[in-house]
Order: sequence, then structure tokens, then C-alpha cells
Amino acid sequence: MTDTATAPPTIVILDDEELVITSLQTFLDLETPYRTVTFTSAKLALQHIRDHDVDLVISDYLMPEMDGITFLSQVRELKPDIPRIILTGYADKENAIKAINQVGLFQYIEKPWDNEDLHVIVRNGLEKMQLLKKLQIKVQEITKAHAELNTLNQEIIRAFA
Amino acid sequence: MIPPQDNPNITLDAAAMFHAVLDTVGEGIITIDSSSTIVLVNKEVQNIWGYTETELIGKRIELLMPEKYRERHAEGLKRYIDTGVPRIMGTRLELEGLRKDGSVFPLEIRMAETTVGDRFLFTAAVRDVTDRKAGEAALQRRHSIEDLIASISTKFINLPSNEIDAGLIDALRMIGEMTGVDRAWVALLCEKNVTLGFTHEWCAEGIALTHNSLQPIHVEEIPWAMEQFRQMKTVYIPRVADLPPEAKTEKKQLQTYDVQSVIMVPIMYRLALMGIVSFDSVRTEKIWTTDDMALLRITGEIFANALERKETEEAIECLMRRNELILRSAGEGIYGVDLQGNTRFANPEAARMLGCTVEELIGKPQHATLHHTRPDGTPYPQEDCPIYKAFQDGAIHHIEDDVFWRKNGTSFPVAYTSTPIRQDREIVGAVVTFKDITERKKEQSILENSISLLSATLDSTTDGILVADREGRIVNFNQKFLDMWGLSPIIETSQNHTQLMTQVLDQLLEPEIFSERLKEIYAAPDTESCDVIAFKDGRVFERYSQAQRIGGMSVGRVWSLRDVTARKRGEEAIQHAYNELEQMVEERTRELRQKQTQLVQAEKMASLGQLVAGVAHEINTPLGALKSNLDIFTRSVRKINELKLNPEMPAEFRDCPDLTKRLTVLETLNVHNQTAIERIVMIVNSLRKFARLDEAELDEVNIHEGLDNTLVLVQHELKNRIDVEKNYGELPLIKCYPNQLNQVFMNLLVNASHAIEGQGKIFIRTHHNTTKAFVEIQDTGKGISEKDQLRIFDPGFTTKGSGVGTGLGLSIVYQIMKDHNGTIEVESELGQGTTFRMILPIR
Repeated sequence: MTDTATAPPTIVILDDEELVITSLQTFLDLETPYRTVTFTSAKLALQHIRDHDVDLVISDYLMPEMDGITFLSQVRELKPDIPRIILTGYADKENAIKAINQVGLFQYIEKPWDNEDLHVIVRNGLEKMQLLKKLQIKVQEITKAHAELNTLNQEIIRAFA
Repeated sequence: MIPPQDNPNITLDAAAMFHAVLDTVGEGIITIDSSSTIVLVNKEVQNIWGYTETELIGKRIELLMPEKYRERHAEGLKRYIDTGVPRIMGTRLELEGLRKDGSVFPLEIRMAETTVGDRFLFTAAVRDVTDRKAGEAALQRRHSIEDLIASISTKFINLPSNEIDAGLIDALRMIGEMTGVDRAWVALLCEKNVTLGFTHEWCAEGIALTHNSLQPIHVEEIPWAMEQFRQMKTVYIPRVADLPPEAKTEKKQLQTYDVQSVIMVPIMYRLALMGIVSFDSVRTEKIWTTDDMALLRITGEIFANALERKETEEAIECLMRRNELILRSAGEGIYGVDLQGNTRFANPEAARMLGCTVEELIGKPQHATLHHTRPDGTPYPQEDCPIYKAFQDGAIHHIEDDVFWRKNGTSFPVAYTSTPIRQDREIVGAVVTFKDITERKKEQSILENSISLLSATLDSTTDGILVADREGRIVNFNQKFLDMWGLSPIIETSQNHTQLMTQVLDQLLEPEIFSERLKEIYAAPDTESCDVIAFKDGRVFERYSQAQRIGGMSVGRVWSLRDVTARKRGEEAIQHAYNELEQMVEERTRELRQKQTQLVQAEKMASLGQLVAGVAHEINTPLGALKSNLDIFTRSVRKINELKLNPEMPAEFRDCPDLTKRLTVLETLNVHNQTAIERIVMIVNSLRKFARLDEAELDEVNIHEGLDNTLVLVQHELKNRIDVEKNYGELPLIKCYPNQLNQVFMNLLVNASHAIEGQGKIFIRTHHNTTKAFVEIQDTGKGISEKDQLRIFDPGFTTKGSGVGTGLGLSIVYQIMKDHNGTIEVESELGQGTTFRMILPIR
């Protein structure tokens, strides 16, 4: 993992409509410090996620190549910690919600979305990701300390034995 | 005999006389000493052996004998000298001699011994027996040929006809071997004596078979030989090369096969030429004696007899086989009886039917075997047997119904014919042919059964049945027929026919038509008929008739009459009921049609709902982008304005009047765009909520929400023309199908707006009591006439004129309310407006 303190968080956006991608990307670039990487192909998006550090993924629901739920479930398989957000139209809301529960998404955003809502959801997602990362580091530190302690313990026992 | 020079007592004269005697003796005289040296020979010895006296005297006796005797001689002599036991002395021996010219000849010898002093001398008297031996051999040969011919002759007599061919070849071999020829063959005249075909051949070892591969010879080609054969002459050709010119074909033919000598004997049968048998010599020329030729002629005769017998036996066998085949294949049992009453022959079918083998029948008295008992079980005396009568009276006896008895004691019904057999006008027996008639009997009983069944059927049927022949004469009828017409049973004779017709016609409503029809039917005897007869007393009969056919021929007509009075009455009642039913059906159909209209409408709405939902979804994507972009615009304008206030910015930027103006315009337009987008969002929301696709199920619904959504959608109808005044009371959630109820609201609101010409108002009121919820929609439109008020809920009723309304709206509203267990009421006054009140149950 790269240095999380200095590099801006990266958001991957997947939608088959350039229209939507442009909107989302423009908003996030102008109004947030986050870096955005956009894709119209689920395959390429997955490739990118696999090969790079990504902090959040936003995906459209209805897409011709692969639907958003399938895509996000594959993202989860690749990197389970990345918060995943889905963008849905109204007609498929019910199915979307069902799927969201199955795949375990961070949030869903309904079209037409409100940019402020979007901002809040994204920020929360990223915070969650940051927290998770920090937690991981702490856990690693504790594990390491624990191991050292164990070794020490062993040595003490051996010394007195 | 004592050699003269060794006996001093004998004088020279005596010696001369002794020699003279010796030389006159017909036998050869030889004397040898114990060392086998010849001491004396006479003239005859010189004649026999071809040596002179001087060539012999002092030589060893072995000179005169072939090699093979020499050792034996030496041993015999030595043994005799040693033991003194005479073994061969005095006995006559047959030995062989070796002449000077090297030839060996048979001789007869007798020996004697003499002792002269201490010398042993042996004297032999020898006779050349060559001629005698030759005579004996010739005789022997002739005997053998005679024996051979006798044995061949005997053999042929006992030979079955199918082995005669092999026997002939064997005989050729035996004669051939005996006579020392190389080839023997038989050729027979065939194709009406036109050709001579080769049939049998034998060859000695080393000689190739020839004649089997030959084509038959045309007798015309060998006239010389044929002429002699026809005269029954044996053709003997000692040297083929010497044949006369007139026999050139024969010569050529024989030379082709290297024949040097040949003897050909004609085969005659009853003075007719059948063919020839030929004996060829290939390796050497051969001389035949007259005796041989005579014997060969006998052979020809034997062959002729054998061949003739073969032909006859084959013809007989062929005939027998044909007869046997006929007997075997006959489907009837056949057997022959002789005058003693014993069965002489029988075919397998007879044995099969009688349950025994053919052998078990033959030789047994026929009557006692299979005809001993009558069908009723009483004994059948032989004197009465029709089979035997045939050869007593010479007539053919045919019995249709009798029984024969099987071996196992059971019997079967038969029909049989006994025909006398005559031989030279004498009756010698009878042939019986018989048939098992079990099946025929069975058929007869089936027939009887069907007839009785038929008459029972006739009497038990409820129809009146009358059977008439082609001419219309009554053949049969049943009791029911008489009962139906009230007739007496005596209607059978033709005199009564007229009386019967009168009686019948009197009872009918239309007797002329009846008679007319009857004529027509009889004119076409093959047709079926069916008509109805009406009686004066009100009864109605159905009259059905059909031709009675035997083997496709119409022989009469069967009439069947059925009283259908009750049925006719029933039919009328049914017709009445049917009419009523039809009315009911009509009503139901109308109802169904109404329901169907609603269903079609509902279906339309459902697909419309799907369409709307799809459209809403499709709009949401670009709408989302648009909304987001507008937000970015607003934020950006705000940001630029902030930058303009920043004192660190250049003055040109901060104070640019054009920039300031354009930013102001952008701000204003953004606000308008915001409003526009919000309206689009609202319309899309209302559309999808109106369709409520996700809530097609029965649900607890807020009626007010439904009303508001519908209002958004009908907004374009109302525009600025119509004010909507909402007066919502408290309403609980109502259990309903929201999309259907929304449709009701939509229909009523659209109707209301259509009813209002120009400006007007629509009031929407809601309230409820403990059991019901009320929704009222009131308009200030033109109102509905009282007359029309009764019909507004009928499907298809419209006052809007074609192209404006479908006339289905209110009927659907009515149906939906009914489906919700609710009702709809209408209050209207022309010119004042209309109020529709929907009442829904609260649960």
C-alpha cells in the first residue's frame, strides 16, 4: 500500500453512459479533493481495481455488458474492503435493493441524484475506508507487538527454566 | 543209367544202342556227377537248350538253369550227399531252364540217382512244357472271363437301379483289367437315335479319361461303324491304321485318342440298337480271339438289360413318387381296402386324422379299426358298412354324416366316399376318401344358434319388425309389430295382404303418402329408408327399412317401426326449454362482453403502466446528468462571484461589466432551469406512482397520495381553465389495488374537465364514517340528463361523439368499484354540474 496520508483517495466510476460519467467526474473533480478514474467497460474497470489502489467504487445498475450488482460482487471478491456504491433508476429499485442486500453494498444512489447527497455518501464511504485501513495498521501493529511479546516471554521462560 | 565208359561190362555196341535209345526218347536226359558236372546229355537236351553236346559235357549243370535256382540246386545236392535222404528223387518237379539264347522256359523234371563205384551220379529226365503252359494259361483266362461275366451278370441282377451307373463303370474296369485294355467305354444312342452320347468310361492307370469331355457324335458321321452295329456285328479293328477309306471318320476319331486296336460291341435290347461298348488299346496293338469276342457280346447283352432295367425302374419310381405325392398332399384322408376288407394303403393325412401312423393302418381290417361303432354308440355290423358295399355292388357310396374312430378311442364326424377299384373289369377293392367335418358341424350349430338368437331378439325388441321378400310377401314379423297395428297373427298369406293393407291404411293420417312411399321403396330394393308415419289417434311412428342382403344380393327388406309419440312430445318440451335457455345465454353473453371490455381495458392499462415505468426510468438517466450538471453550474457561478470579490484578483476581472452581467444572467437561468428540472422530476415521479407497477398487489394505500399523483398527470387538461379545490378530510389507509383506483380518479377527473366548457371548478372532497370511506369529485360542467344517467355505466355509452371518448371509461370505473366491494353514485343536474361519489369499505 502506498502512503495513504498524502495521496488523494481514488474513486472508480463505471457507467455505460458517458453523460453520467462526465457529470459525476466533473462534480467530484471540482468540489472534492478525490481522484476519479472512469470506465464504460466493467472488464477494464475490474482490471484497474485489481492492479491499483482504489478507495471507492461507484457503478451504474443497468448496463449492457454486465449489470452493476455482478460487477460490484466481483469487486468485492477482488478487494472486499473497498466501499461500493450503486446508481439505480427507479423501475429497478426493488430488485436493486434486494441485490444490494445480497452483495453487501455501502450505499445506493437513486437517479436523478442530488450532488450534495452524493458528496456526503462518498465522503462517508471514504472515511469508512480510511478507518478500515487505520484499523488494519493498528491490528498489524498489535499482532506484531503480540508476537514480539510472545518471543520475549519464551526467552524469559527459557532463562528461568 | 550208367555212363557206358565207366562200365567195362558193357560193350561198344551196347553203348551205341544206349545212345540211340537215349536220343529217341522224347525227353531230355542229363546226367551229372556229385560235383554237378554234366557227364551225359541226349539229343533232346540239345534241342531244348540249344547247346551242342560238346558245349555241355564237362560243364556245370548250373549253366542250364536260371540264376535263382542255382543256389537251391547246390544246397539240395550237398544235403543229399551228406545225409542220403532223398528229397526230390523220383518226384516230378516243375522248374525253369535257361536256354543258350538266354530265354527262360518252363520245364518238368524227374530225377534218379545211381552209384557207380564210389561215384554218385544223378540223372534227370526233362521235358519242355512251354506249349502246355500256354494252353493252360489261355484256358485259365477264358475261365476267368467267363467267371467275370457271370459275376457281372449276377451283380447287375441284384443291383438297385440307382447304382447301375456305378456298376457299369465297375464292370468296364473288371473286363478292362482282365483283358488288358487301356480304356473301356459305353456310348448310348440318344435324341431319338440321332446321336451317340458317351455315358460310362473306365481307364487304366496312366491313361487319360477322354470321352467324358466329348460332345455326342452324330451317327451320320460314322456310317461305316453304324452300319455294322445296326447289323448287330461286333466291330473289331486290330490295327486302326489299316481301316478302309470308307471308315475315315472312324479312323480319325480313334486316332485322336491314340487308339491302336479296338473292339466295339453293340448293345442290343429286343433286337434294337441301344448303343455300343468299346475296348480300346492305346499302348499296344491287341489281338482278340473269337472266344473273347463272343464273351464281350454277352457283356453287351448284360449292359443292355441293366440299362433297360434302370430306365424302367426309374420310370416306375417317378410314377410311384408322383402317386405318393398326390396321396401325401391330399387334404383329405385316403386309404385303399382290398376285397378281404384290409387296408392296403393310406395317406399321411388319413393317419393323422385317425391319430395313428400309416403303418398301423396297413394290413388291418378297416372296419374293425376305425368304423366299428355307430355315432350313437351301438356296434356297426360289417355287413352294413357302405365302404365294403362299394366292392360288393360296384357303386360309389357317399355318406355325409358318420363317425370314424381314432386309435385312442375317440371319434370324429366324417363325410366319406367309397369308390370301387377295378382292374381289368374285376373289382379288386375300394378307395375311401374322407373328410373331418367337425368344423362344418360347429358352423351348423353356430348357424342354428344365431337363428334362435335372432328370433329371440325379434321378440324382445321394442320395435315392431316385419320382414318381407323382394316381392313384398311377408316372411317374418314379431309380436310387437302385431300389437302396434292391432293385427291378428294370421297375416301370412298373400290373400290376407290386401286385408292387411286396408287395416293399416285406415289408421293413418295420410294413407296416400304412405302408399306412395311404399312403392318408391320397393322400386329401389337396395336403398335404406327412414320416414315418419302419423296416426289418426295422434301416435307417431318412425319407419326404418333396410335391404336384407345375402352375398351382396338384395333378397328382401326388413322393416322396423318405432313408436316415437312420447319422444316427439318430449322434443317439444325440450324446444321450449331450449328457447328459454337461449334467452339466458344472451343475457350472460352481454354480461360477459362487458366484463371482457373491462379486461381488455385493464390489460391496456397494465401495459401502459409498464410503458410509463420504462419511460420514467429512461428519462431518469439523462435527467440525473442534467440535474447534476445544473448543480455544478450553480456552484461554479457562485465560485466565480466569490473570486470576483477576492481583492487579490486583477481589477479587469473583478470590475468587468460584461462578466458581471453574464454571471447575473447565468444565475437567473440556473434558477429557472432548477424549477424546470424539478417539474420534470415531479411529473416522472407522478407517472410512475400512478402506474404503481410495484404495487399491483392488494395494498394499504393512502387515497390522498393517489389523488395528488393523478392530478399532476391531468394538469395539462386543466391548465389555467379549471381550478381544483381540494378538501381532504381524515382518511385511514384503504386496502385496494392502488393503480386501479388511480385509474378511477383519472377517468373521473378527465370526464370532469371534459364536462366543463371554458372556465370552471373541480372540487375534491374526502371523508369517512366507521365502515366506509367517501371520495367525491364534483365539477361545474354541463351535467348529465336524467335519461343518460341510467346508461352512463353501460359499456360503449358515450355522449362525447366519435373520436373523443371510447365510452368505456365509466363502465370500467363501475367494474373497478365493484371489484373493491365499493359502489359509485352519480348526482347531476343539467347546466349545474355533476358529482361522482365513490364509496369504499374500510376494513
